[in-house]
Amino acid sequence: MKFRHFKFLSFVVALACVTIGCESDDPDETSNDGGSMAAGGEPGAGGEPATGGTAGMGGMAMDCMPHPEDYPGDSWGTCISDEGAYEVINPSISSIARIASFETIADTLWRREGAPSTDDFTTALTEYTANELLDSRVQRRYDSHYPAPEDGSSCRDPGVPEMYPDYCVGPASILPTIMMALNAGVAGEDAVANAARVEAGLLWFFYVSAFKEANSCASKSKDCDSAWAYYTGGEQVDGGLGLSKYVREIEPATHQAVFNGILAVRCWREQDNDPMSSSQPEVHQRALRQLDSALDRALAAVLIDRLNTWNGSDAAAWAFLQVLGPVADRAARAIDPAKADTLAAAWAGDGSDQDAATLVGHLNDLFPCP
Amino acid sequence: MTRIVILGMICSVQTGYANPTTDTESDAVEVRARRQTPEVDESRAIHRTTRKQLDARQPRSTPEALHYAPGVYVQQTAHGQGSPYIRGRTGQQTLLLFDGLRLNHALFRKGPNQYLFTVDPRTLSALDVVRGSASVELGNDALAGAVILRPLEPALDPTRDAFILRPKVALRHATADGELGGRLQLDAQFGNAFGVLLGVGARQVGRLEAGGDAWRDGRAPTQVCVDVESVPCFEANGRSQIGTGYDELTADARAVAKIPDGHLTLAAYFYRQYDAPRTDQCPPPEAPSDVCLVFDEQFRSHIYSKLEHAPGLRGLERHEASVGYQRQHQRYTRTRPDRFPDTPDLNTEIKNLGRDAVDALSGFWKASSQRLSVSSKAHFEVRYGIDGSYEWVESQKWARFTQANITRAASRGQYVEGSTFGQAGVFVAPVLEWGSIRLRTGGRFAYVQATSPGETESASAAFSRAHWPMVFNLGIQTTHTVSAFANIEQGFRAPNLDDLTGRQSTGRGYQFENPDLKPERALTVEGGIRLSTRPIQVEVLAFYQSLDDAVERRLVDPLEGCSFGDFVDRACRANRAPQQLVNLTGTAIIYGAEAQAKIRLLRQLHLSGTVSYTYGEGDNPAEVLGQFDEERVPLSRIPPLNGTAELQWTHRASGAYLGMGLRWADRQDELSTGDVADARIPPGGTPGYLTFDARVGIRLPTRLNLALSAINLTDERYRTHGSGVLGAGRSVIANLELFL
Repeated sequence: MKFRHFKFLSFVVALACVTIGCESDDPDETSNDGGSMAAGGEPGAGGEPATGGTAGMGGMAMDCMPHPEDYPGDSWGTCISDEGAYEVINPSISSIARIASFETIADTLWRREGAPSTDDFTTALTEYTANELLDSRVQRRYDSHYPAPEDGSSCRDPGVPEMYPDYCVGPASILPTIMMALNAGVAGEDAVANAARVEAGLLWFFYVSAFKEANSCASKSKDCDSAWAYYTGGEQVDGGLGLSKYVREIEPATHQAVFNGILAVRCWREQDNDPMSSSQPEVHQRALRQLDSALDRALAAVLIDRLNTWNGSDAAAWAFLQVLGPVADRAARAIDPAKADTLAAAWAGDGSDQDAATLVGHLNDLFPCP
Repeated sequence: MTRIVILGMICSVQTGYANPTTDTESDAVEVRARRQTPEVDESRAIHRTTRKQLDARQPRSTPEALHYAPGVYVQQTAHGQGSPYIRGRTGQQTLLLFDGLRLNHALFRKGPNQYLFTVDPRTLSALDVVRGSASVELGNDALAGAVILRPLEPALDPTRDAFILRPKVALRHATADGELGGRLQLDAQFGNAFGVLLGVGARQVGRLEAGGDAWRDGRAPTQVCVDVESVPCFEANGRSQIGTGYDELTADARAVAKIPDGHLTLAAYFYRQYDAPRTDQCPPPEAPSDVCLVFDEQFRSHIYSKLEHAPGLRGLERHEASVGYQRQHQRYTRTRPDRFPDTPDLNTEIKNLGRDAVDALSGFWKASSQRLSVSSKAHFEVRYGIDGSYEWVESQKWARFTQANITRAASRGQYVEGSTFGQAGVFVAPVLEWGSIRLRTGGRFAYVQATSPGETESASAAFSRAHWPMVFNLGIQTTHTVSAFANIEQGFRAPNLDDLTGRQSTGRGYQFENPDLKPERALTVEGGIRLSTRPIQVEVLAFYQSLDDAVERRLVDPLEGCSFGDFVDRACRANRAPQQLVNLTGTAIIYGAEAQAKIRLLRQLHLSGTVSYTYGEGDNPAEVLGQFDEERVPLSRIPPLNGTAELQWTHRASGAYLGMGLRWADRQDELSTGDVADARIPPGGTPGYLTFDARVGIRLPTRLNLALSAINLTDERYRTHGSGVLGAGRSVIANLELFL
């Protein structure tokens, strides 16, 4: 009897010890140095985009005229965009929040006095990776300029970005650019240059996204709103956040041209109003060509502006150019492979053997008009 | 680790104890004579699922144990979760009671939740479902009904004054998800007045295979998800669902002491679930397919004491009182894996971590009078009582950046830490029987208070809200073999801390709090007919419920709705469907019909079946109706027309049985605006389904139970409406219990 009692009590003790699992401890909050200045970089370098256009180093050709098929124009008829304002399809446009997040990162890392600290980079990293914000979309962003994988692979699946790096530009190229720069900044490395790389990476994302959303609007009409939001941050032509803020301050005419391209897409969507498909694909393609051309000039304008800032010496500006410059390669190569090779070689170097005026000239030759 | 625990349990089983002369689960040992469902009046629509039925059906979980209850529809967001819909409502609007104490807590969401899964079905002797409002007798949250869980009791045989041990070991395996588990149970009797029931269980569950093939039309080599918006996603075999599987440990102890005219019980129940992905967020729609939200820990701890006493007084024939402590804890991680594992200089892994817990003290005292004779034909009895609970919340969130080796705490968790929720109520429910007419009524006076200290950085408002609801009911029933009944029930549900402080990504978008919510109030009218004879039992009823201030989700303009003072919740703004809980204008309605029948075709052959229909609609929650918006829209996730059937033949002499089960549901395309945004509901609605199960087993009391089930014989590919996980494909479940 006693032995049975002992076994019984042993069972009770074993039962308690084995099965009453304890809750895990909370993680310890950690931080970097907090407030320490990162080494390297000029205070204030790579800040606000230059104002007043690119007059100092060769801007857009003054004889740029809209294409006969561009919107607004006689070939478009009457449509919802005719007042010159973008009319939303669905009032819930989540992309606007991502441009707002960009603005927060910009104020933290490069639109500021002095170089950002490691804590600033941590703040930017937190903002960038917050749920549903920029990182969530960079991780799956594809470039509509390239054909989708024939086997139906998706950029969200493991292994696919490595196989289709041009198409899956977000996870294959933009993501590592931004994350390497943010992580390096958190580690205290070259703060101003890494801030510039983050800036360039995000502008790259907006450039790709505006076109991608305008494209996918054919099967999901609310993507037209996202195209508008990714360029303007949800503002009309006289405002502008994100990429549009840069373009409007550098080349107002180009900014208007991009906005007209977005209005063209909206006009098509209103006229071809099945929300899940398109019965006027040729009109959609016309609008996309207009938008694409304008975005290419917008990209060139930003690069030209930064070349003016670099002017052969600003390391942070060159870091920016090394990220964003190659983005123009696809469009450049389709126009003039030789000039595209020259630019590609320039971006690949450290800039010490480059001349800003020459590079500006190449960009103006390739993309003279929006 | 789980396998070691299982082997350890098996090895620790001792042999050589005195074999019991009675089966702990048979009806031969009646510890206490009592009404089957004493919590509510017997005239209510009540269905009981017994232990024997559970042993034959072999449900994976307590929610699944309700599959064959009429008016109940079980939804599963994830493999390790499950939520019963009673007459179209679930979560906050249905009350779960464990041994009379509230399982509901202040963080129950609108919509399905995982908390009923934290009850081990192997610890239950029965589950009762009360359909229709039951707030008078049961209190807050019993708007659409209640699930009353009755635990197993130790076999206290008063005729034997001895030390008796009745050990039992159970092993279970299911092929659809590779489940391997078991339970070790020890039922001990000390003399003739004290008994203890101890149990420990464990199981390891892998990925769940659905029926059919996800890749019927072909698959890209790297493809994981059928398309960017659908959930769940699949392995290359087209059946194994990504984001399923979990580990589980349970332990329970129940000590019952016989006291003069009653019993005193001390009980403890522990449930531990580990590494349970939330299937519809693993991966979330449109996210990279290796992103996953996992509940690292889902724990429930429940300790309580209970006194049952029958003094036999006119005004106090019997009463019971209980006080208890419950803690629900969950820890979760949403991981965005490193997308460059081959690049040593770059690690893009991000983890979003969170922990929520709610502690609750609760108790009740309930009593009933004797059945008093008013006249030769009239009898009167009354039930009355008082109950209450007090809860407090912990909630935190962090973000961890792997390469930077930094962990940052957010200013608040999903809920506001330090928030509290308290409630109390007193009720009385008299019954008058006059000949063959049974007339009952009742009323409850309650108090509910919710407080929050607020959180400045996120502009989460501090508040203190109190409500004083009063509810009444009225019912009439004839007590013939064929009886007619009609009930009018008022119900209420006060907004809880999930409603008032929660900010969270849900399956259908981002939900943020509304501290100005008012209580929901329901009025249910039901009527029907019952036939109760030995060979045939039939119940048919119809119900109509009107809901005032019904709480539904409203899509908000992210530019305006996601701003709280100067604080802009960008996760809210960036979500494809930011929503806020609001009280609907006007009156929402839910109506339907239920039927159930049990027929003894032959002495050993039984047939049973259920059919349930529910329809619900309310005012469109949109602030401004668009051109194509309807003024009245369906309520969220109302179940489709559905039903069940079972046929079982039992050979009493040998204990062998053969059976089959059938479950079906019609297509559900009546969708609310929130349903349309919910990735768990396929575009256009959830298809209907029909599944067949076959069962065989043998039940030898005090010796063994062996049950084999062939599940989903036609390999139907299906999901219950609103579920993020598909039902099990064609598979086998085996369960062996040995009494030692």
